[in-house]
Amino acid sequence: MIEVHELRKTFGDVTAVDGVSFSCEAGSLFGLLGPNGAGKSTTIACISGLLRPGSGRITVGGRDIVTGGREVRRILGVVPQELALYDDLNAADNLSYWGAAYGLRGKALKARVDAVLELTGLHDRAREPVRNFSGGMQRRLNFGCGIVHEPSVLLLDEPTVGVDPQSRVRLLELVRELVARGTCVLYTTHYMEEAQALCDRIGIIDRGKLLALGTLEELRDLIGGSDVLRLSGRFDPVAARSALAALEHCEVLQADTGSLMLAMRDATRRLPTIFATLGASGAEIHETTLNQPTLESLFIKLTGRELRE
Amino acid sequence: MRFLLRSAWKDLRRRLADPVALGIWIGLPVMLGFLIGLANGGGDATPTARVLLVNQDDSDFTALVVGALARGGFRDEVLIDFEEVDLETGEERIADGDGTVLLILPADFGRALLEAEPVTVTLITNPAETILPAIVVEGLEIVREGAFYAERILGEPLRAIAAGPGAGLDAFDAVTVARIAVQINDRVVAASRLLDPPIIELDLGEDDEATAADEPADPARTLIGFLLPGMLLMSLLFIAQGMSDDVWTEKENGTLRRAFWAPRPLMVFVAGKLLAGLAIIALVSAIAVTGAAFWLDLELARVPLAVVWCAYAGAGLFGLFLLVAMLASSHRTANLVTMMILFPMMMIGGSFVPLEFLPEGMRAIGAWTPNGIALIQLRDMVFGTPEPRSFAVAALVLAAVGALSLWLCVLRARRFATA
Repeated sequence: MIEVHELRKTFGDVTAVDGVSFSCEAGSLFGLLGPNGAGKSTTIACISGLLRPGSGRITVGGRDIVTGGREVRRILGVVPQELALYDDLNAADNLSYWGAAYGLRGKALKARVDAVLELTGLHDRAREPVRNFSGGMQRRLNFGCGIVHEPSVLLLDEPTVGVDPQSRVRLLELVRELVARGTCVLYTTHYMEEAQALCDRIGIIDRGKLLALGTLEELRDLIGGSDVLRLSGRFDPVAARSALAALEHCEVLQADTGSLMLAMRDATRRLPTIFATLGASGAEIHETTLNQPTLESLFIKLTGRELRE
Repeated sequence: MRFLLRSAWKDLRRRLADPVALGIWIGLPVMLGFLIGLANGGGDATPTARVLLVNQDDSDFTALVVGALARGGFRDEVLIDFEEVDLETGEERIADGDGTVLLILPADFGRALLEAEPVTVTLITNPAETILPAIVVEGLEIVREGAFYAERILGEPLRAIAAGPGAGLDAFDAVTVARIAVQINDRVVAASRLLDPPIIELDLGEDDEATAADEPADPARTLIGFLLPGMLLMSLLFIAQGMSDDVWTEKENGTLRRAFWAPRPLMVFVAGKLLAGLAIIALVSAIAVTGAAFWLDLELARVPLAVVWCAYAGAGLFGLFLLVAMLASSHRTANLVTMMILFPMMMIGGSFVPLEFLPEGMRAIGAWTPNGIALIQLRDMVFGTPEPRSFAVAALVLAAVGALSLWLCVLRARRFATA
């Protein structure tokens, strides 16, 4: 339902999205994982038609997003990162207005508004001005406004940012329900756990480039089952790299004078060897952290940086 | 169409959700009317300008001029009272705001006037008043013109009178008096064809005495009558400017983006806003015009047309401000720019100072501002009958302003929503 081919978007000298390609089918959830400023929101903005792609092609439901006009918009739902609500109206009025904006009328509109209020758990507060809602409730309503017209393609741009844990769980449940009903969902997040828990396929994006793409298992394979070992202390980066190069299945992901990051198999058992090798290179180790292979490990391996940096 | 009405209703409900703002808009014309009326000494009383006159010239001629001025007003609508004071008292009183202007006639005023020489008359206006000093200045301009022509026509005999009977004589001799009288008579007769054109008098057969005593003051000629249309237009301008801000609120709330994602054209969304604005302007106008009609004892039959006209003109003004707001690069800039347009429009468009009291050049410009155009017709609707041709031109101009603004808003909408 969503096909993105070689999408590129620049703002002056800054390339926000650089040759990104992926696809997402009906009834599946594609996650775009990356840190803030990676190009996730720009990609969503291009798919939603808010920004014109610099180059490349985007189709939604088989129609080009630039030339598809109203037909594309009719099947597309967007839940933006920032709230997009009338806080001086109540929840039912917000849903009703946006439902009408997508052509719903009369009983169908009312039924749909009631259904979304139920889904988002806002039925009891439907007639209360939105400005009285908590942040989590406003997030849920924001989500509801994006799905009130039952879109077959849904773009979710970091919908859980700033949401309390309870509302977050509820939102993730809602997303799963929509996917189960056949909705094609594109989900951007910088929360690794969300991507791991929700997505059928994941694209890892950083600085506008898609660094890796596949299912969770496929991505884990990319890191080769290695653990990520972080060491902090005092290091000579050149001497440390040279000393560690002699060790088998040990990859230096990042090295500077204050920290080292290594990817290696069976790191727990090999810790004494690592300490001895680094000690011989003149390093002073103060703290050690060991991470099991995760998407974050992969992100670190691919970029040399942590996902939340 | 259905979604257009829904959009308008949505914006109206948002306005109703903020009753304080709505109340301020409705109360604005009432409050302005009350304050201006109060500041100028009451609603339907004929306004009076108090001129403090300092005569530093002891010539008989100047004494005559001062006496003539002090006899009474020289405008129909506004009375001007002259009060002779000494310089010190005059300066103190004008500094205390007790007086409209302080007029100082210099020592050689009479001689200079008779000899047609330049002379400087000092006029100090009361900064706390705006309209009445302007009226006095305009009135004195007329006096100055009159003095110039009087000197042209009667200069010689007047100079002879001012020179006095001659050394050692207490009075003019009979020959001199006769000569001066003949001179004056000749010149007045020569000028009379120009000064006194034939007058057609219409006798309505009414009892003049009774009519003069019982007839209420013509509301159009009271101060409130002068100011009312301008005040109403002023509040419409404030409302239009205030409502234009909402497009930035929607942009910042993200709802404008959401509207962009919907399959409806953005034009419907903008037009809905215009329709809601029109409804609010009509409501405020209805309250203000009906209130004014009761206050000034006007025919209620005039109210509906005036309200429709206000709503029509207000929608055009709203469209204009909406466009300006959408062209701005930020919310703050939008506020600043719309304010920068609002105040000059009020200044020269007859809201702060009635168009009739503006200098000729400004009046000509003001009469062609959108609010000035609306004001002239509104005044005719409330107090008289609009002239069909000028009404049609005004309606077309306002329609053009509104339509052009809306069209440009629609062109701008996508970029505005997505930027």
